[in-house]
Amino acid sequence: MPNIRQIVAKDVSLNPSETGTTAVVNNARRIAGVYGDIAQMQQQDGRSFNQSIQAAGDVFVQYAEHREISQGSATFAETQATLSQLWNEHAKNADPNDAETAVRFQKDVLEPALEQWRGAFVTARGQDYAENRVSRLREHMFEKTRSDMATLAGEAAQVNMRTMSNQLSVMVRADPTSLDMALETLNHGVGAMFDSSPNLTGPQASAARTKISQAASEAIVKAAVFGAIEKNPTEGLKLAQDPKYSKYITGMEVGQFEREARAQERMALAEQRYAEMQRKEQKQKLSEDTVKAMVDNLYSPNSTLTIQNVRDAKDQLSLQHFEHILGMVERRSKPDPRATVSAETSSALLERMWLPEGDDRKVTTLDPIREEMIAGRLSKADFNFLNEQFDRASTPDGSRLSTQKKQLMDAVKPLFDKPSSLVPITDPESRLKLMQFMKQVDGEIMEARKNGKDPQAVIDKYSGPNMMQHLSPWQASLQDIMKKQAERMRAPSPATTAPTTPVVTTTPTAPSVPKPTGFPEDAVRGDDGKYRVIRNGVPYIVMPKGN
Amino acid sequence: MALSSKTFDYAGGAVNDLFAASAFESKATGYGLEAYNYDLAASMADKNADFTRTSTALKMTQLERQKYSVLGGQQADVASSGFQSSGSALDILRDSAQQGALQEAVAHQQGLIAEEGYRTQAQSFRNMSAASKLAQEQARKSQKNAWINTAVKAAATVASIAL
Repeated sequence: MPNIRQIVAKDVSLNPSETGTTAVVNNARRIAGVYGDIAQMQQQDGRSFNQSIQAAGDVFVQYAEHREISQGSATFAETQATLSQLWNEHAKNADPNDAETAVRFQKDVLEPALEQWRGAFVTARGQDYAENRVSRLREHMFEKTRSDMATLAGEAAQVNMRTMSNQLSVMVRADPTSLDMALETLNHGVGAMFDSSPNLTGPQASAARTKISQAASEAIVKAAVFGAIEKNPTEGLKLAQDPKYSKYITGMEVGQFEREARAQERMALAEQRYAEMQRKEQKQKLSEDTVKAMVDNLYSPNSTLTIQNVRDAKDQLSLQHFEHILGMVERRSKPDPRATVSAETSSALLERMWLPEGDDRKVTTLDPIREEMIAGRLSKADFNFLNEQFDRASTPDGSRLSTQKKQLMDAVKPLFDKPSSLVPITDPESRLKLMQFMKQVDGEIMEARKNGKDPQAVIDKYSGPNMMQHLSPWQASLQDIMKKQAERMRAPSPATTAPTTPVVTTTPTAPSVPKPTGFPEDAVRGDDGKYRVIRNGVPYIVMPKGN
Repeated sequence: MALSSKTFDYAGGAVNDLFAASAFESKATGYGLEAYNYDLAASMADKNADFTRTSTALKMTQLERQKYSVLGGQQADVASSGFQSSGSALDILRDSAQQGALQEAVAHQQGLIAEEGYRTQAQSFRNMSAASKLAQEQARKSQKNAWINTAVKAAATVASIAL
């Protein structure tokens, strides 16, 4: 039997592969883990960058803040100084009573400047600093501007008040009775001034108001008291002690017012005396001018002065001048005294005229000269010479020259008195020659002045080493002296023309003593009492016969 | 708003957030790749299901074939016994051919299944390699960033002392 073999598939099952699936599943988890790691690294990087940026940023911010604040401090000081200066300039020309002055400055100048300064800050701390400083400066400037305006307004008020106070003080000093009215005016003025001022407000203004008002009131009251004391010290003191005004015057000031009252009384008395003296001086000057004009008239060639003229002018003359001019009118018709007498009188008066200031003997008025004229001891020429010398001595230059002329006269006078040391006999005409000498000196001085030369040269010429040479023409010889002395001794007494009252003479000549008998006729008595004669130019002492 | 530490705190925070965003991107990528791999696994599972169904069908066919084989043996026995039956040889030939083809197809199919499994495994390992390279690159970047941050912090330290 045939065996037919058949093909039979043994295993027809398909086995799924897990290889890929397992790998994929496992790797899927791993990949997620890897990406998780990447993400962690990235996050770590982010954190690190974050920290780095923060760290660097902190440092940068610190630097920027420091730089800003450092620079800002300097610019702040500059800004503050600039603003202060601008405000000072602003306030200097501002109206103290304008309330908007400070506001305008704050708005137009202060705020823009502060904003500009603050705008330069970009860091937080810098801005905090800037804000703080701006706030502080704004506050400061606000206070300053307000204070300055108040000060300016206060000063303006003070000036205004002082002006008002001064005006009222002047008024009440002139019219103390208007004191109450002045105080009322002051109070109204103060109230109006402070109430209307927009810059004077608050306690300070109130205090200033009180202070200014009190000070002004005190000044006005004191001025009134002073004025009252000036008018009537007693009434003025009553005003000062009036309780109504006691709050304006201290006890010490009352004492001052009392002293002022006493001083016023003394001053009034002194003024009275001064006025009296002034009246007397004016009267004396009028009298002097009148008598001088009369004297000039009296000794002019065409004199018209009469006794009646003098009597008519009696009201203008002092009693002394009236008597003087009367005496001189009477004297006009009489002859001049002897030249030696007039010369002695003149030299004595000149010496007294040229004495230094303060000397009791100094001739300070023309009266002594006139009295000597009336007494007949001065010639008209010497009278006129003395009047001229008196006038010249009244000027500063004349006074200086007068002193030098006196020194010259003192120096030459002994040489005129006793030309010779051998014989102690005084020249009886020494004063006459002395006066002639002084008149010549004075003439040369006048000539020098007229020619524009220094008058001092004239004095120097006569007081220098050649003095004796210049004086020799004026000095008498011994014979002439003895001759004149003898004539004098023989002459009758000059009672008719001699002065009845001797004037002061510095070098009196030897008294005229009757010569005893027994001496030669030409014997002359010397100053030593001895008698001498001149023989062949030589003096000899002689004795009376019989001795 | 002024320049202050907070300014740099915010800036640092922003940079931190940038890196965090990048980190989330990386994580998203990772999750994406994981999902992709799971998709691959699912695909593989689907294929395995198909393979199993095919295998089941094949097994059913094979069982049917065994039943017919038994019947054929019986008919052969019948024929050898003199029973008349028409067409039996042809059926046997046809049946053998079918069995051989089936055997080949199963072997071929099994090879394809194994190939597909390894290809998927390779792809998965490549993905794994790419991810590791990316992680390496990121690590280097982080290293550089660490140096930069070190320098910045050192400079900040010195500056903070100097100021």
